[in-house]
Order: sequence, then C-alpha cells, then structure tokens
Amino acid sequence: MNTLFYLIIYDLPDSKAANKRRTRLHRLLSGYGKWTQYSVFECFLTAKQFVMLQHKIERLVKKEDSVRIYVLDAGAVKKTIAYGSEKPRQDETIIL
Amino acid sequence: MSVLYVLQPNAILNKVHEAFHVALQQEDGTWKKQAVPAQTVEQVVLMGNPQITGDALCYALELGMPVHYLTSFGKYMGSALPGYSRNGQLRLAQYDLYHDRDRRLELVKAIVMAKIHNQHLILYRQKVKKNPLKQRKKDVKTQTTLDQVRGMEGLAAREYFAGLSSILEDQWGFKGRFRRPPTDPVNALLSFGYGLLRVQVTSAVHIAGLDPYIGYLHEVHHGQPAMVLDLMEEFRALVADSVVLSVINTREIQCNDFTESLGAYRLSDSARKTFIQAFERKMTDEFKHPIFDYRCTYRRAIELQARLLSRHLLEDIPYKPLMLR
Repeated sequence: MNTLFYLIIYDLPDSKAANKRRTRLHRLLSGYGKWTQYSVFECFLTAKQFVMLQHKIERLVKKEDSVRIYVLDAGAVKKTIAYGSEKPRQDETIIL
Repeated sequence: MSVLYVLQPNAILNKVHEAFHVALQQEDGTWKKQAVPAQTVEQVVLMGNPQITGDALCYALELGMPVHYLTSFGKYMGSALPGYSRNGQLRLAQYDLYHDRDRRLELVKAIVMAKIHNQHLILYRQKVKKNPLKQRKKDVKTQTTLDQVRGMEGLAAREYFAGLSSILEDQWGFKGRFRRPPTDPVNALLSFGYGLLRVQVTSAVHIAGLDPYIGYLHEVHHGQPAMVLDLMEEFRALVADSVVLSVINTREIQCNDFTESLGAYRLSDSARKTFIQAFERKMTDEFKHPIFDYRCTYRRAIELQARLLSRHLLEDIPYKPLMLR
C-alpha cells in the first residue's frame, strides 16, 4: 500500500474550550501517527486513512484554531535532517 | 501498515479515542503507557496472554484488524477476526472441489510439488547439492491417488529435514523434525516459525472468504483448519525455514538462548524478540512475483495466493502455487 508522509502541526489558543479541543486533537492524532514534539505529529498514511483523518480534524477544529498539514513524498522524507531525535521512519513492526 | 506484537503477559491493551494504549509493567513494578497509532496497524498478535479490553477488541475488528492469540511458545491458539467477506458462492465452489476427485488431485499435486520445489530451493541455497528432492517432485506428477501424493510428500519431508540436519552444526543436535514437544532447539524454532506463519495464512484465508476447515491436501477432521494448512505448505520452507536458518547462521540466536523443561525446549524472552524481528524482516522482504511479475512482500504474496485459489475455485483459472527460483 502506498503511503505518504503527513506532518501535522497545530496551535490552539489558551482558553478552556480550546484546551479541551487540543487534548481531543492530540488523542485523535495519536491514533494515526507518532507524537514527536509538543504540537507536532508525524504520520505515514494511505490516501484513504488520510481522508478519514482530514474529515475528523475538520469536524473538530474551530475558526480560531490553526492546524497545518504538510504532505511529503518518499524523496522529501529521505532528505529530512533531524538533530537530537530520530528521522521519521515507518514502523513495520511494533514489538512491546 | 504495521503489525503490533504484544509479548508481555501482563500488558494491558486498551483504547483511548482513536489510539491504542498499551500499559507495560516495568522491571521496578511501575506501569508505563505507550500510545500506538491504531489506524495504521494491520494485525495484532498477542503472545502469552496479555489483556485486551472489550473496547479495544471491538475497535480493532471495526477497523478490519484481526487479533491473533498465541501462547508464549508460539503455538497458535485462535483469532478474533473481523466479519470479512461472506461469499457463499465461493464456499459452495470450495465444497464442490472437495468432492471432485480429479480436480482435487490436480490441485493437491500442484501444492505438494510447490512445497517440494521450495524445500529443494532452500537446500540448494545452503549448498546441499546432492538431494533426491528433484526426483521426488517429478514422482509426484505420476501418482494417481491422494494418499500416494501424501506419501510422497512425507518421504520428501523426511529427506529434506535430513538434508537440513547435515548442514547444521552438531551443537544444535538436530536429527529431524519432532513436534509436540519440540525435542531440540531447532525444532522449537521451527514450531515457533510455523506458528507465526499460520497467523498470516489464517488471516489471508479469511480475507479471501474461504472456509478454513475445508481443505484438500489435509484431511478434514476434528477442527483442523485444513485450508490454512494447505496454503501454508508453499510457504513453510520459503518463509519459516529460511528465517530459522538465517538466525542460526548469523548467530542471532544461540544454543544458550533455550531452556529445557520436561523434554521441551523453549526460547528466552530476548531471543523470542529477536526471532520475531527476523520473521517480520522476512515477511516485509520484497521479491519479484513469478506469476504477477511485480515486486511484492511475502505478506502480500500469502494473501495473493489465497485470492488466486478463490479465483481458481470460482472461475477455473489455473492455480499456480508460489515457486521461487
């Protein structure tokens, strides 16, 4: 299955309702990818999975929130530079 | 897409909104929670008996994710499978072929020949040049009854394992295939590998919508998933045996990784992890498929074979088992 790399960054204001939304968004994104920085998720998703995620994000966020999604292909992921953490990589197996 | 293995017996897998959380007990007795992106997981394999909450189980099935249960020895216990295809026509065709003597024999011959071919390939790669398997493969073609084909398969298997024991060093003490219980480390590894392979084939059979209990080479009796075992034959040597040989040859697993109890050998926890990693490496290995002519992984190849078999049953497309060169 062909997957693309989706870099998802969010910034939600500091109000009671937005805090709640942020937690919800965090939990939503945990289901799709890896939490790498405080408001950054890295996801390897197929087209179908991404459409589902996009739909869910759109239903959740309000006007004052900001969510940015960068779509990168394999070539761009390969050229990623990371200091102090691992480069993004698709987990084939998770052994716990 | 990834496969989630949970090896720790007292781990708890539960669902938090869209994600799985696995609670793992650390050495000092505290619990550590780890989030797993459930949407990108394809299969869950639980070894030992980790807890899974009802919520998480339902969610896995909703996402079309089979959950397999194995013992810590790697023996296959069963699976919770999503309600895949309910293809009645296919099952009727599967039962028809079971009663059709000639077509069934033809299919069984194809499967056995592929199995022997692949066993020969493994020995050939290990540089056991002189082995009678090629002749056995030819002999299969001339057999006229199912039992004769089965006999040929048994003979070939014995010769194959004899060939394997000749290349393994003496310290392993491998004299042939013994199951229930595995009486030496190599047999324990083989059983473990076959258990893991069976997980893959079981889900492929369900994805294709076949009835796992009606098979052709393996006789249908007392709850033996004959179809799963039939489809497995092509892959035993290609996948499980070659993984076992590679972990032995690269010394990833050594004799002292095993403990013996009551004549049965079992793997240590860290070696088990190593073996699963090697197995998964193999499953995600790409090769050029000889029939479809494109690159695919072994995991995909297993599913393809199940689908090809269902096409064979429904549309009479010749079934070509996987034989590599």
